[in-house]
Amino acid sequence: MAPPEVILMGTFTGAIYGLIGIGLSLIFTGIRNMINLAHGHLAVLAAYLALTLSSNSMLDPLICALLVVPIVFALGAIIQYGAVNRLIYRSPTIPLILFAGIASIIENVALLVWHPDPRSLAPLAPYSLLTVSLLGVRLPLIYLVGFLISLGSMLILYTFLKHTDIGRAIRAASEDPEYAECLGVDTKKIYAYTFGIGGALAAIAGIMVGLIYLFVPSDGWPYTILSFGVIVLGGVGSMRGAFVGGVILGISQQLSAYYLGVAYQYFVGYILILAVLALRPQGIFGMRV
Amino acid sequence: MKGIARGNGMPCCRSAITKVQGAVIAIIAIIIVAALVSGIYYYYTSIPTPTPPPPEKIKIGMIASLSGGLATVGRLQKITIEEAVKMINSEGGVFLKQYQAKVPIELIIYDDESNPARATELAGRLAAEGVVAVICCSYAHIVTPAAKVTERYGIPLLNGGTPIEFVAAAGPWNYTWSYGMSYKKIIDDFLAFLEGYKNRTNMKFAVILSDDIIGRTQKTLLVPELEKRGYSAFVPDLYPPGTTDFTALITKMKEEKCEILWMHGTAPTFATFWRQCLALGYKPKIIYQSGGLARLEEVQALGGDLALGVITFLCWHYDYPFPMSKTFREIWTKYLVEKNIDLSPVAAYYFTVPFILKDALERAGSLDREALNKAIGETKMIGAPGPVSFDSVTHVGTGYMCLGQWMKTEYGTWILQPIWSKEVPEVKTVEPIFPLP
Amino acid sequence: MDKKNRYIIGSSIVAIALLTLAPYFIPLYWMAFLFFCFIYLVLTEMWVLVAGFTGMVLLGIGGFVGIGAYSFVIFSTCLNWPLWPSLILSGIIGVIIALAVSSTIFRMRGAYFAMSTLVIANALFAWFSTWSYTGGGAGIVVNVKLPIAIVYHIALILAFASIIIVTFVVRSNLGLMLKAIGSDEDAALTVGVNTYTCKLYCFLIASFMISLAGAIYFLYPGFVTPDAAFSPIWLINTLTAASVGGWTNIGGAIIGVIFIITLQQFFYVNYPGLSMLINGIIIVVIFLISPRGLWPAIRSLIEKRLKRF
Repeated sequence: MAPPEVILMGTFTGAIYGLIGIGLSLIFTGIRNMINLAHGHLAVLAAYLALTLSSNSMLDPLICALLVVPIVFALGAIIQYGAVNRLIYRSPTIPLILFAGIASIIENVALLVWHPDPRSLAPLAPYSLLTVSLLGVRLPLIYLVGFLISLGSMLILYTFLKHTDIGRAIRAASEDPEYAECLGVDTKKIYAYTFGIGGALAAIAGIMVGLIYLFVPSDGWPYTILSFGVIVLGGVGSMRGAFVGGVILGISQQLSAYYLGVAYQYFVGYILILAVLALRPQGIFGMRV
Repeated sequence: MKGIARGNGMPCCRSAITKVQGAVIAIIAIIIVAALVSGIYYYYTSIPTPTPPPPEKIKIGMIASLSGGLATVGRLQKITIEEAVKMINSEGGVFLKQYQAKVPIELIIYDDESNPARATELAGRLAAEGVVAVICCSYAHIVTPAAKVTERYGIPLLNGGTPIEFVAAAGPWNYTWSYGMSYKKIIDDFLAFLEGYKNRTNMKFAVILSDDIIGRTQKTLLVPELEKRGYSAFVPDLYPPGTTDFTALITKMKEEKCEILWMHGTAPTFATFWRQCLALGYKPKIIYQSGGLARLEEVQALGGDLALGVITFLCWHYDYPFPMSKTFREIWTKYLVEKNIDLSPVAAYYFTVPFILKDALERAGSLDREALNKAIGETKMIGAPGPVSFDSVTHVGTGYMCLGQWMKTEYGTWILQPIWSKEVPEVKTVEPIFPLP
Repeated sequence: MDKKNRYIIGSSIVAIALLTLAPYFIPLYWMAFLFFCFIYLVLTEMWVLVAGFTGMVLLGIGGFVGIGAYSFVIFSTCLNWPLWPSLILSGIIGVIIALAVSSTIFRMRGAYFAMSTLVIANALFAWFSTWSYTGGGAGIVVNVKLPIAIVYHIALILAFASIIIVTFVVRSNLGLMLKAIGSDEDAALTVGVNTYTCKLYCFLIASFMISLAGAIYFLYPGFVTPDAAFSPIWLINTLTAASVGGWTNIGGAIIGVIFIITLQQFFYVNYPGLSMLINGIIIVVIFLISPRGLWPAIRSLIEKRLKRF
C-alpha cells in the first residue's frame, strides 16, 4: 500500500485538475461541442499574469488572482465573441484550427514577454513552505490551499449555473441553442460568457498550479490534454464527473511515479485516457459522447 | 447574360479556368527558374577566388540560443564571446602570416531559438556565407546536429563550456573540437572530497538525474564509481525534464534514509525539488547539485535560505592565477558590479574560445580551413579555466575544476565559497558546512 | 479538360526534371531549402487529404512524424539494418500504430477525435522521452552515412509520390466518399457509405507517408531527440502551409509550403523567436478572412477578374 502521502497529494492535485477540466467541459457542452484547444494556454497565461502582478505589487499571488481571473474571463469572452462566433455554425472541427493558431500566439507571446525560464509563484507566497499535518501525514500547506480553492470554485460555479439568470441561459443555450434563441436568449453573448467562465476556471487552476509547481510557456498543450483527459475520465457535462476524473488522474500520476518511477507518470496518464476512450468513451458519469 | 451563358454550359468558364491554370503554372515555373538561377549565381559568387586579396575581416560564425528554453545561457555566451572578440580586435585583430597584417574578427551571430532543426539550418547558412569557423557553445542536442552539418562543409567548429563526454560520444569528428567540463572529473572531485566526510554519514547515496544527455552521461559515470567506493546507492529512473512533481521520489528517499544527495537539474527544477524536499521533511546531510547552481540570480530565486549548504562544481574561480583568468576576472567583475549580470564561472570557457581561434589562426597563418583545423588540433595554450589542448582522437579538452558551497557572508549576502581545490592550489578554500543545518 | 491536364503534366515533368538535376549545380544551402520543402509538402498534402477532404483534424500529426523518425532510428542504428528496409519499415510502423488506435478513435467525431490524436502523440512523446533503448531524453545519433544528394532525392521522390497519391485518391471513388464524409458524415452513412473503412484507408495512407517523411527528415541533422521528433512545430507549420495553400487544394499545398519555408529561411533568421508567433497569427488571420484558405481566395479573385474579359 502506497504511503498515504502519495494518495493524499494525488487527491489534492487532482482537485485542481478537476477544476481545469470543468472549464473545458463547460465550454464543450455550452458551445456546440467545441473543444477549446487553447484552454491550457489560458491557464498558463493566468499564471504569468499573476507572476508579473505579484512581483510588481508585492501582493500575494492569491490576491492578484482576484484581478487576473477577470482579465482572463474578458480575454476568453473577446476571443469567443470576436473570432469563434463567426465559425461555429459550420461544424465543431473548424474552430479547432483557429484555436491551434490562438494557442500558438499565446504561447509565443508568453515566450517573448516572460522568457522561457521555468517560473514559479511559490517564492512570492510566504506560506508556500509551511506544512500541515493531515491524517497523520505531513504535507505542504499549499496543496491543501489548492484543494480548497478548487472545491470552492466548483461550488460557486454550481450555484451560479443553477440560480442565476445568466447561468440558466447558459444551460439553455447548451441544451438547445435554437430553442433558446426563440425564448429570447442572445446565444452569441451567452457563448461569450460561457467561454469567459471556462477560461476563468482555467485561470484559477493555472494560478494554483503555478503556486505549487513550476510553469513554462510550453505547458499550455499538456494542460489542455490534461483537461481533456479529465472530461474523458469523468464524463462530459458532469461536474461530479470532472472532479472525480481529476482526482483519479492525480492519484494515478502520483502512484505511477511512486511505483514505476517519475519517468512514467505522464505516460501512464495518457494510457489511462486512451483506455477509457476505448472502453467507455462517455466516462464515468457522462451522458453524451 | 453572363449568368445564362454560364448555366447553359462550359464555354465561357473553360477558357477562364485554363487561363488561370496557365497563369498558375507560369508563376510556378518562374519561381523555380528564379530560384535555380539565383542559386547558381549565389554559388558562383561564394566560391573564394584562387588568390584572395587580404580580407577586411575574418568571418567567424556563431550559433547561440538567444531565445527559447536555453536563452539565459545563450545570452551569456553572446556577451562573453563578444567581449573576447572586442578585446582581440582592440589590438588590431589576428596576425595572419599570409598577409603580414593584423585582421580583425567579424562575429556573425545567429539565434537557433533553442531548436536543433534551426541550428542545422543556420550552420548551412553560415557555410553559405563563407565563414572560416563556427563557434557553438550549446548543449549536445543542439551542437551535435549543427556540427554534423559543418563537418559536411569542412568548417572547423569550436564548442566551449559544455560537458565534453557526450560531444566525444557523438563523434568521431574531423572538424569539431570541444573545450569544456569533464563530468568524469566532476564526479571524481566530489567523491574525493567526500572521502573526508563519508564516515560521518550512513554511506547511503541518492542519485536523482534528469533524462537528458548530461543526466544519462552522469548515470553511466557515477553509479559504478559509487559501487567501487562502497556506497549503497538509490538510483531511481531518470526524471523527464520538465517534471515538477517529485513527491513520490522524495517519499522513497525518506524511506531509504539517504544522507547523501546528488541531484542534477536546471536551477528552477532544482528549486522546486529542494522546496518539496524540505516541505516533506527530508533533509540529507550533504547535497550536491551538478546542474551548476553557480549564478547569483538562481540562488536568490530559490528564496529564503534554501541554497545554504548546496555544493556544486566550480569550473573557474577568480583566484585562478593564469593571465587569461585574470583578464576574464575583470570582465566578470565589471558585469557583476555595473550591470548586475552574473556571467557565471562557465563563461570562463566561453571567453577562452575566441582566443583559441586566434591562437590557431596565427599558427595556421591563413584563412584556409584545413590549415586552421590542423592548427586547432595542435593547440597548447593556457586559457582562463586552465590549460587548453585537444585529444587527437576524441577532439575534446578540459580545464581545472574545484568544488564550491553556497554560504552566507556576515553581511547576509550569498557567496559560492570554494571548499576543495586540488588542481589549483592558489584557490583559497574554506571549511565546508557539514552536515546541512 | 485536356488542355488543363496537358499544362499540368507538362509543367510537372519540367519541374521534376529540374529538381532532380538540381543537386549537381546548386549549392548545399539551396538543396537544404528544397529538402525542407519536400518534407513539409508530404505533411501538407496528407493534411489536405485527411483534414481538408475527410474532415479528420489530425492534431497528433507530430506523433506520426516522431514514430517514423524513431522507428527508422531503431531499425537503422540500433538493429543495424540496411537503409531501404529501415525506411519502408518506419512507414509500416506508422501504419501499425494507426491501425491499433483506429478502432478507438474512429468512434469519435470532430473535436474528440482531434484531441485523441493529440493524446496519442503525447503518449508516444512521453514514452520515447524515457526509453533508454533509443537514448531517452538525450537523443540518439542516426548511424547512417549518406551523401546529401541521395537524401535530397529520396525526399523528392516522397514529395512527388505524395502529390500523386493524393490526386489519385481524391479523383477516385474513395475520394468521392471521403469528400462526402468530410461534408456530412451522418448523411454519408445514410447514403450507404462505409465511413469506417473509408476513413481507415485514408488514415493508413496518411500515417504511412507522414511516418516516412519523419524518418527521412532526420537523415539531414543526423540526430534525433524526442523534443525535435514530436514537436508541436510540425503541426503549426503544416497548419500554416495548409491555410495559405487552401485546406482542400492539392496544388495550393505547394504554394503554402514554399511560403512557409521561405519565411523560415529568409525572414525569421532576422527576427528569431517570432517564427511560431507569426505563423499562429497567419493561421488566425487567414481563417477569419477566408476559411477556405488564402490561395483559393486569391484564385477566385483572379477568376472573377478574368471573367470580366
